[in-house]
Amino acid sequence: MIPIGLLAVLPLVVAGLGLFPRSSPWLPRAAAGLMTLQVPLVLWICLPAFSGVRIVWGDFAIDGLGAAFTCITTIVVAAALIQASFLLPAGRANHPMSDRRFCLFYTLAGLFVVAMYSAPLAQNLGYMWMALEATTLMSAPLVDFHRNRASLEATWKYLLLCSVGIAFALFGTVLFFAAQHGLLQGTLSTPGLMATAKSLDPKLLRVAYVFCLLGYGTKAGIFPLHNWLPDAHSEAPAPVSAMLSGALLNCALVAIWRVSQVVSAAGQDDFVRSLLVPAGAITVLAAGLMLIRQHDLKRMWAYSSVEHVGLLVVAIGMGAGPIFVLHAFNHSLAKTALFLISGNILEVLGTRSLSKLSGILRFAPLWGIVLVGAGFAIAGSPPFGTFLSEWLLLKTTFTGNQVFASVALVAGLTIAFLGVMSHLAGVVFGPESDKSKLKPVPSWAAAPAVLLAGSLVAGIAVTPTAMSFLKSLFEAAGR
Amino acid sequence: MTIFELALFHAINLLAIPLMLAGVVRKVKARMQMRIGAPVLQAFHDLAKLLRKTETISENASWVFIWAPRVGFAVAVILTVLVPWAGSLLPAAWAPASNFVFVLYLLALSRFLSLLAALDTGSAFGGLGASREAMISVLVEPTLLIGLAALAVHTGSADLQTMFGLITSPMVAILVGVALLLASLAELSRMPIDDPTTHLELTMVHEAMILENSGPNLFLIEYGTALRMCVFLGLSCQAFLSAVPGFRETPLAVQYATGVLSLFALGIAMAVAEGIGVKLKWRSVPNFLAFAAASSFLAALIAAAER
Amino acid sequence: MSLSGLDLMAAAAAASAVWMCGVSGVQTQLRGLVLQTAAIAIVCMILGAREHEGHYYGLALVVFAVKGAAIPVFLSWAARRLGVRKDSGAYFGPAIGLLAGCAALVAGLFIGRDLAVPMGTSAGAAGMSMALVFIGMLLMTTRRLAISQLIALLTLENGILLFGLTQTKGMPLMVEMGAVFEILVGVLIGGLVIFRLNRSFEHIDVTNLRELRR
Repeated sequence: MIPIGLLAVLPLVVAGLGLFPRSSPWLPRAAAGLMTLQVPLVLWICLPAFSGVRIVWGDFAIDGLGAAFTCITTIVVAAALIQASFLLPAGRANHPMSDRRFCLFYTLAGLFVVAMYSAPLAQNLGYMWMALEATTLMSAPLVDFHRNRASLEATWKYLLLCSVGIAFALFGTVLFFAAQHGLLQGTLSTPGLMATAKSLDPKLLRVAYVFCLLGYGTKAGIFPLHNWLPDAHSEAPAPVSAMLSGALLNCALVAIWRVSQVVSAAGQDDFVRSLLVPAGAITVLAAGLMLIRQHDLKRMWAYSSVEHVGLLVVAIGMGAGPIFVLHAFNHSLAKTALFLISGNILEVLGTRSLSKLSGILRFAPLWGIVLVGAGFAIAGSPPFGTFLSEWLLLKTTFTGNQVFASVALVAGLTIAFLGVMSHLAGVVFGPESDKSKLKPVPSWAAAPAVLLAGSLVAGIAVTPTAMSFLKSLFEAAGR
Repeated sequence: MTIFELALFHAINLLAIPLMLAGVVRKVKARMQMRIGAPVLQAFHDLAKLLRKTETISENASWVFIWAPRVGFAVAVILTVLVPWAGSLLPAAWAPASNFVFVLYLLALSRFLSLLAALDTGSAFGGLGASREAMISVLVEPTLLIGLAALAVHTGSADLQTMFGLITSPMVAILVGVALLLASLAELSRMPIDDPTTHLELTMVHEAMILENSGPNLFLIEYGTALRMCVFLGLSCQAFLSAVPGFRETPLAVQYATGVLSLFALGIAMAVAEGIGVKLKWRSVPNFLAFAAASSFLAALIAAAER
Repeated sequence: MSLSGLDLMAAAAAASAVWMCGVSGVQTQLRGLVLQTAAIAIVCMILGAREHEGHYYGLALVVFAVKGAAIPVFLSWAARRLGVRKDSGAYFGPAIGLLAGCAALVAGLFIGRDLAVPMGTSAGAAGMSMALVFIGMLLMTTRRLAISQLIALLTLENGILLFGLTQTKGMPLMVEMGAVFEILVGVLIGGLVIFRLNRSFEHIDVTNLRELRR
């Protein structure tokens, strides 16, 4: 029996290494190497879960959903840390910082990763809540890595708004416990709740769900609770942005999925659908509209994250687990690639402003190709995976008679597509801006390119076998 | 209680207690400041002196200036008789006369006339004091109204005489008592709203309004102030005493004695607090009075919730 | 309104929260926070005496030590270091703030009446805890300084803790302790960020943080 705790070993090693400032010359590469090793390790640990076996370890268990998201998180973090091994030392050459501060990045990143593993794997609402609060606390100093005024303001907003959100989620969790007042023994474990769901107090259950949605929705970035997201995701250094957008949002969405499952098991899936689907649709539309008006490259990708969160929330609301996992996978791959390439651009060209950037294709052809590809992927165009998952989602909403949501989704996706393409065209094509003092390093595009290739494969290879595999993730013990 | 005994109590209330209270308060304050201070009965001598003095009236003053103190004194005497500040001392048939809205309107009348009198002489300090007093009254009247209305809702009676005897909830009583106490400090122009012993005109509120008065009119004003101090502080004492379970079942004489003693105790406490504390900046006065308003509002909430 | 010890302490917590709305000094607000937390710790102990379970006493001790002593001492030291003394509200002063706090109390009592769990320990305490939650939200949105927002967050969490204590029986101890310790870490990190804010911006007035627009 493989203990789940093995998952946390390598990240904790990275965190431990970060406590020694002397290790700063070789720490970035070491961390990248360790997290790359983590990828096959995680796949090996989660292998039984993919065939329907539930690996239990105390209050944590790897079920199909948890396994999928753990793998996604690991891939994202590995890519982010690989890129960080290039970007952070290069950034250090321009902005000197103490060894201790540099190594603190890895300590916090290691702890952040452990927290992000705990969230989807927790089988107890209370532990899930604690894991998500821990992710907020560990990632806030990471956002503030550059210590300029903008990133400080973003950090404060992030910390405060997400702490308030998490407090509301705690209230929702307490109400979930309180809804069991008719039972002899209350529990916060998800399987236990789902088993006794029908005998829970319906009114308290609904109020609990609303509070959990408010709380975890703030963490996920549902409109109008998304205010912190563009600031935090754009001001953070690129690897951190990638981890936040590609992995942390998924954790919050898994939390929403788990509480939705409990409430649906109590027979109130209409209530869940009536809350989530409009919220998601409005998020998509609003994010699309706000995306057009952006002037900042990373902020644009942050709004695109909000948009995809909206799509995922609609998927959760419709109860479509396989589409949820598929789209989360595709989004994470494409978004991570985007943020990492944007980090390259920021590092070499020194600016994120869309008006000042142009001619990336001429300046660094490989970067330009990856950027264009990832931009197409995030905008949801074929042949990338996001197109398929978005199309499947739209099919579900159309067949589910969700008229308003479908219209809003189509409108939002179209607007976002146009916005992303037009901004991207200005950045990628055109004459080279004369800010290009440094030579671009081709190897810096390796990780994003691999991710993009993954997204391409996911787009082409979605066969009925793949879809049935995804369905099987949910059928086995414990959705 | 025979009419004779009631008349005796009222005579003591009107003649002895107010000036004694003023004297005690002044003495304690002096002791707090490490002075010996004037004798406790000095107030009697001071007011007797004022009666014998000639009045000096500004040429610009009109009849308002002369009549306002007289009406104010009349109101103060009526309030001292009607309001149960030392216990319910009226025959039951007279109780409707102590309707709390009527009492508040009487207070407003006297305050209105004193404001007019302050403006009447045309002096700058009179106007200053009048405007400040008007602002304070805007903040205090709702507090008093809501606090007494809370008691009315709680007890089901609008007459002050019967109201205080029927209070059953200690929480309401204490909250109303706190509201009345803080509002009284404002109404009586005591610290921390207004320092009664200041000689700096720009810091005065009440004293500025009576700067121009002298002789018998000043006697009426000072005596009226002493009477109002008894009424307000006594009312807060009664509210606090009503919170004590079983107080209202004791005989009337015991209630009266306890009421008067607690009034003096409250006066002494007020004097000690005045010795320790400082006067508030004028801009912070609304913040202070907000606590009184919140207290009366909470009392109203609890009274309404229990209905 | 019944005056059982539990209700009285819950009312004291709500009253000190309302009082916090009307004061503008940072150190005075921290004193209000200590009073609030002490009242909630006493509620926990009363519940322990009622249920005859030892872990309530442990929880009360932890709550008071961490949220009632350690965090306010840290925030008080931080406020002294930063040199902040007064926090007049962002939109209205303490006078209207106090009345708004009373309105939040009323709103909390009404909503708490709906949310009270039938088998819970006390229906009045549900209203008081919702009042604490609403006052926390009010303080967070209407105060200027970053440190006041942290105090508001702590008030919010106190309300949730009180609700959990009085409306549920046998809430897993790990979750409650975890919540307390995570808020400790959160406040420490928040304090760190506030110090950095002060160094960069020369003030900690959040209404003046306007670097990021749109």
